[in-house]
Amino acid sequence: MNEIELAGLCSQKDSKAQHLLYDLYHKRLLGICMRYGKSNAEAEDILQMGMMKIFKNIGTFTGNGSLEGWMKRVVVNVAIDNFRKNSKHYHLEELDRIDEVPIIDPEAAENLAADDIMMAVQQLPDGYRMVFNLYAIEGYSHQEIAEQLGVSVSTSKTQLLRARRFLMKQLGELNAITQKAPVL
Amino acid sequence: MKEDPNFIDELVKKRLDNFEKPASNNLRRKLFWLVFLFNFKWLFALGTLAGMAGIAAFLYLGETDHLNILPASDSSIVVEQQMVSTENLIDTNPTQNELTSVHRTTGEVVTNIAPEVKVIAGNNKKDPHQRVDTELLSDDNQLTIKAVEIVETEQGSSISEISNRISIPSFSNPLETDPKGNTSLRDVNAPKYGDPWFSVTIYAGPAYSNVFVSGISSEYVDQRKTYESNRPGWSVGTDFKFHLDRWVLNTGFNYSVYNQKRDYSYSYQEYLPDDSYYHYDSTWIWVHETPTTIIPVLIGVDSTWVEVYADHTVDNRGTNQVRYFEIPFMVGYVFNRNLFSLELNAGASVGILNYAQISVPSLSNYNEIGETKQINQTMLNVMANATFYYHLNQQVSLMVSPYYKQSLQSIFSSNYPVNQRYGTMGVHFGVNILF
Repeated sequence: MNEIELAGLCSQKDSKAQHLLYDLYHKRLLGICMRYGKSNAEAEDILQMGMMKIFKNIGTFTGNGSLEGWMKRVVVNVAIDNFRKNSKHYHLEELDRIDEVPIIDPEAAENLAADDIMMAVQQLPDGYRMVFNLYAIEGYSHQEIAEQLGVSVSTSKTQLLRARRFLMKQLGELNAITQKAPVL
Repeated sequence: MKEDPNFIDELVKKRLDNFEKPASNNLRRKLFWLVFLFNFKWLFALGTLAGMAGIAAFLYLGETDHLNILPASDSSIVVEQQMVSTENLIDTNPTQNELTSVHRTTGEVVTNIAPEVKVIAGNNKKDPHQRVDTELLSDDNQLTIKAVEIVETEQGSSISEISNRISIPSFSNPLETDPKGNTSLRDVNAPKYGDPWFSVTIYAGPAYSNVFVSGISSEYVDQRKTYESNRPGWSVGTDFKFHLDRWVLNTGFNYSVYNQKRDYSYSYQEYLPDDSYYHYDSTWIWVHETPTTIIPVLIGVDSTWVEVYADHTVDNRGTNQVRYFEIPFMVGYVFNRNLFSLELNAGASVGILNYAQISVPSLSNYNEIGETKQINQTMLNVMANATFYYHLNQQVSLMVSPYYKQSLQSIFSSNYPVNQRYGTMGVHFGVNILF
């Protein structure tokens, strides 16, 4: 069964196909959601909303591009919607000034576990995390981010810079710990 | 420090772009429950609508049933009273009166008075505009009746005068008391069967399903009819009934099991053309070549095509079974006669497949029996029943309900070339509880 057939069955509300679709893609999609949520629980909430939207709109998938890519876009859009919806609860945080950014050894950074990097991303303030994800990973421009999130372009740029510094600090500390850890 | 600002972007993207993590089972369960609700949202919307209508009817009719407020005439005061024995006495002896309050408003008088209670309305010096609540106590101090409102239409009328002008209707259905002699206010206000109200029926019973098979070819259908027969199933469920006068709106939950006996046990021969052959039969005669020599002479060859068959035995027995979780929507009409009622209902039900195990002949070779998975996930039925009730008391009734249910769809999915429907006769036995 190819992707289009699977999507077609899902659009006909075939329960088995819906389960199969979930089983095939949920791990990858949850990985995306975890980047946008500040906790695994929030990530699962985003995934649940995203999967509902996927099942609802899968009939519009025409086969242009991969099904996985289409599903990723849906989930990212849900994450953006979720951020906008809750934006009144969020605020564009001002972290304490990060004066000293630890040095990251590129080679050691390569050895950082993906889970540790994910944790560092999740620890970013909500606004930083959203801007960083959209710019650095999804490839949005600052103009697009500003339109999506309803902020100014300069705010988007500032948030990105601060997000980077925050991440470098977090990962630098992890890196230092890793380097100091005794070799067993 | 790595100076390139994109370094951190690239690092995160590289490490997290294909990050995977399995979701919790809880998410899966929640998600597919939501998907289920989404897939059948119209059904739930309809059910919710019916439920809300029922609750609205319940509240509206319940309220009017308890507070039958009748307008007062010029100089008379009417006391509306439910199920009160004509033996009730209104005693004006002020020494026994436990009048604590009277609520004066305008134009109407309402009070609930229990049977076998001597109600004494004594205090005749009440200010006509004074608001007081009245609580009348029974002699045995077990039953407390609260008079809700007493209103005078004429200023200066005393409570005793009011009492004298109270008209107490006679009811043929007096309040029942339990073996201990206790009586409750709830019993007083309980409606008779057939009054607008809400009731629940819990039932179960056997069913017998006829199978109607069509499609693909008459040979296939004959094969099915020959080796399959009916086998009793059963169903169990709960009905929620909203009584509107004599009309009843029904919905609820039903779990139905449809069975069909499968007994493919026979032998057949399969023609093997490759193994078949010609049998040659020659005819010879003996001829005297010379007077002393006889030689055989072939005068004819007869050939016959010999067909070779392989013997096969088919042995596939069991029960084909589908189970549906069904939600009925029916409208009924009630006829009452003494302790019995007859309720005629008709409507539809929507089924959601819960289980299926169907083995049928293969569409390409009718002698091969195999399980098919192409089962319709939903089922629409029309149904009708005649429900007989025997009322044990004002709240509990025994019921027996013969019914017929006809599926409008095939149990197979639409792309399966065989159409199979059920016509089910059954009977439900149960209990109806009136609230």
